[in-house]
Amino acid sequence: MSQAEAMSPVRQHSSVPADGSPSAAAASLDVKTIYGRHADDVARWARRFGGPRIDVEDIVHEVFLVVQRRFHEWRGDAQVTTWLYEITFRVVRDRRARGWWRSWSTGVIGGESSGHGSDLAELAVDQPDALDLLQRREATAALYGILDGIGEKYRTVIILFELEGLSGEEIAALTGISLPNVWVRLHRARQKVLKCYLAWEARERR
Amino acid sequence: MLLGLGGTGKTMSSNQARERATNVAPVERWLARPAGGDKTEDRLASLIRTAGPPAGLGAVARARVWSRLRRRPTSRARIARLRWSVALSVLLTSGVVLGALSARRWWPAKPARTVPGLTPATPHAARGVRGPVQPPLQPPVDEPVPEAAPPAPPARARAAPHASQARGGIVAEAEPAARAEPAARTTGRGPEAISPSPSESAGLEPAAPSSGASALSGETSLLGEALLRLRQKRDARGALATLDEYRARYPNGTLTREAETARIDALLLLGRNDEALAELGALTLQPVGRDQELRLIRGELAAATDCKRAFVDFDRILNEQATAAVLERALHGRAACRRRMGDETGATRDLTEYLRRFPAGRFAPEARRTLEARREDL
Repeated sequence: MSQAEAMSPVRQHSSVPADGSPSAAAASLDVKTIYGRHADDVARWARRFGGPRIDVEDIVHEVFLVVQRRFHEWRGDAQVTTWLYEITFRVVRDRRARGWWRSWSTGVIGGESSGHGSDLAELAVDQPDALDLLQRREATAALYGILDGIGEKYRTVIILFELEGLSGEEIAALTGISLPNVWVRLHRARQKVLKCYLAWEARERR
Repeated sequence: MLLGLGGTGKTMSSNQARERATNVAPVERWLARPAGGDKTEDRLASLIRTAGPPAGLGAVARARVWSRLRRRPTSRARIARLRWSVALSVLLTSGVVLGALSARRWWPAKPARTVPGLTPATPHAARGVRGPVQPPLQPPVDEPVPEAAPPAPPARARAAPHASQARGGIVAEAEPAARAEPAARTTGRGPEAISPSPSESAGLEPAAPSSGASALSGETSLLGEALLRLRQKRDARGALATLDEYRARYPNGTLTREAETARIDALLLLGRNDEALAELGALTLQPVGRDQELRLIRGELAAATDCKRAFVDFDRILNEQATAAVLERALHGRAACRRRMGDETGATRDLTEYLRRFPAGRFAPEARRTLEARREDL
């Protein structure tokens, strides 16, 4: 299983919970437990959907506000990760759609992260070598710079397919578009990404 | 040619239809496809691999978000929307109130202009014309002036016609006899409103400026002179003398920081690097702008004698947001210090990074030479 596939709850979990009883899953969980187990997952998904400039803490906060608000509606008929994944996807999508308003009203471009010690945490936990971290960051910034240049609907399918490793059917279910449309969008998106990538390479060479 | 889309009422061109027919097949992921096909796709896949999976939240951030969740059950976006609504409501309300006040202020003025019998001698009429910020007009001429208005300095005197022009138009129409001069004396606005005539001001004591304003004015004057000498006349020695005088007169002045920065510039111009370094050592530097440049200079000066100290400055700059020029010098400086401290691996890494980021940089030839020599040694 690829790294992307391992991260994707839609691929990782079926819609039927492990014990086969939807209400049992819901009954054994509360918001605090869900937060303790899955806050990191939500942060990773948020970074994946939103890119390096998204304010991850803010997104996690908003996702769990939705969880708090809707917890009584969730009957455990889907895995909690699937539920969280869908909420995160929608919160990030909405946040990006309001990006222009936020940048205009707050002066912050794209809800840029305030970066409360995240660099230190990243250095301490995942990256022993600052140079590796730097390279990784630059690659991430370049990748999302390219993705930001192709239009939101194409960006979404590319991220879900290429980075998150979702299948066409899963993307169709998550985004609410038909399967043939998913593939058409994906084809177009890939062409656009390649074009933007070549332009980025040309700029880098200069 | 346009084709119908199954009862949706939409149409698409033949090109779109062809594209749909060919592009509905599943595709292979860039990361999953074997290398050696399309070179561009290979390179893009490599970029995606380098970017790697995103990091999680981290324990501290997780605790912080949880505390936010417990403390504030409203999202930041919602609060922002609420704030904007409140701000807009306040703005609208104040607009309406101001509009109403303006209307109230200006409407009574019309009868004052048209009916000669209604002079603004009464306080009510005066308020109608001049607005609520002005006290009512007093019987003018022969009464003793209760408080001395300070004589107008030239700048204020110049401002006076503007002030009277801005506010006095209707007064002039409504009350040609009782004009603004007595009003100026009684309102306490003094020379800002209307400059007194020379005969009036001659008998008045000039009000002494406050000591704070005077000190600041002295500071500004001295520092201005120093900067003039330094930046325009390139007279570093003269600037330094003026800055010495500044330091003696205002050891804790408001502009001390600016003076210290100018002193460092002057010392650097004179080549008195040790003294400049000592001055830089006494400053608390912020991680932005001019302070960052001063930190870089401090590192470069210290590098000659104390690489450990210089390394700290270079390293700190490289971990901050900085301009390319500053980063270039800091990276080169750190590499040099690492070499001097015997950390050849670190120096090689810095120089490699330097060449990657600044292939045509100022120190690029030197960096290449050093790296080649290092390779030969190995």
